Amino acid sequence: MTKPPTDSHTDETRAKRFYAEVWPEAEMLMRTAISLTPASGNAAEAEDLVQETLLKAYKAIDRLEPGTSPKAWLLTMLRRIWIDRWRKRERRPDGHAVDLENVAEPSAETEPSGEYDADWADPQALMSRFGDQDIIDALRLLPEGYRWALLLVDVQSLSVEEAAETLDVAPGTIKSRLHRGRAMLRGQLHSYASERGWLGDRADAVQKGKGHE
Amino acid sequence: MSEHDKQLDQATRDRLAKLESTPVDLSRLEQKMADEIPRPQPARQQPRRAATQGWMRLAAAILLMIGIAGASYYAFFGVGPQTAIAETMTVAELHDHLLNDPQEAYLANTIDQAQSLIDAQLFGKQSLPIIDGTHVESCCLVEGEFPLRAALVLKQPGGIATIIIAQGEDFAQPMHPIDHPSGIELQGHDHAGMPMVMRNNGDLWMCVMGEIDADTLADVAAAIKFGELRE
Repeated sequence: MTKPPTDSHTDETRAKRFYAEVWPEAEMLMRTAISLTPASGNAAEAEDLVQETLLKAYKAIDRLEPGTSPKAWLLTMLRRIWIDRWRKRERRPDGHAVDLENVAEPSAETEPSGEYDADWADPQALMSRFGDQDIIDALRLLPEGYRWALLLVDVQSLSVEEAAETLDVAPGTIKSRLHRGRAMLRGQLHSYASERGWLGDRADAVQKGKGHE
Repeated sequence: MSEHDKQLDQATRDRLAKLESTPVDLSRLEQKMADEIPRPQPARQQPRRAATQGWMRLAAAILLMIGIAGASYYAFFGVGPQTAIAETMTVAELHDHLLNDPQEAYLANTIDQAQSLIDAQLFGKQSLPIIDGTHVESCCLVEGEFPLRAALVLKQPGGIATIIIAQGEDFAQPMHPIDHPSGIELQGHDHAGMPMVMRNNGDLWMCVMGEIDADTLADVAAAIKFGELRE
């Protein structure tokens, strides 16, 4: 995807390439950034993250191979900047930074139990009741490695291989994070559904359905 | 994995995929970026084909001379010109323009990306890929100048298409209805051997054209939402 930088690009040519190839991905970056920044933050925080990513992309645009999709390239940049910001912000009193890159892989203890999966009798119907904000809120509660795997593959349609390259892990790791991340997400959404009485509605509906049989 | 687990997994993936079309407001970011990286002023209409460049320069020179002479005449006699010269090109010419100067065109690799770029242009979040105020006319359907509302290049497995949206109920007329599985009303057309698919919504017309099979063009035209269909 990358090639050595050249001196042949004028600022205008670079700007043209930026607005033709990179700027169309700004919405994609913004959606990703919104899912990364805390719910307590505001849109300006996500916007700031995307702006820094875009400026970095502009400076490095000579390294983007013409004709290739800049999506994975930009998401890699976004992630690097996001990690750097977290390191600065989340430095602990002992001086050690929070390690966001080395995500603990799932073990038997962290394996989602799936105890609520039986409540999802009609998964598509129940899923469709959640608004985008619900899904984003649930994503924000996932551990970083799982959240990134879902954002890259399920939301942004990167291949498992591209996501593995972006996150610098093995493709098998992405697959397991996807599987478990989706289960964790459902666990969180289950609690939202329960709070809103949606599961009761469904249970009632099932009961009533059975009553008519 | 049980069948129910597969359904759960698929439903989760499907719902997450829909986040890709969540609307986001880029207006402030666009302004900030424009302050940092000034958007290059798109060249005024480039010659569409290299072979016509010399002829165009000659014609432009003649028009310039006529313009200067006319302006002098009107300045001297105090009478203004009756009509303004409008920037107009046909959709086929615009198609060529977008493909010949890709640095001035928005590029989409998927229908979703195309949809986002169209929304951004229609809702004013992104400027048009060529000079604002450019008008277009349909190739040989109806004479007239219509405001261009959106334009982009879409890469498809079978080739490259352009999507152009113009404003004006009279921009085109129903020609050859296409029987599309979606049931959406589409009109087929052909310009110099290149297939075009037109779709109307209110006062907007969308034209999808390219040297790829007409079925693919029709699928693209049916998948894109614009105008009132977006609300």
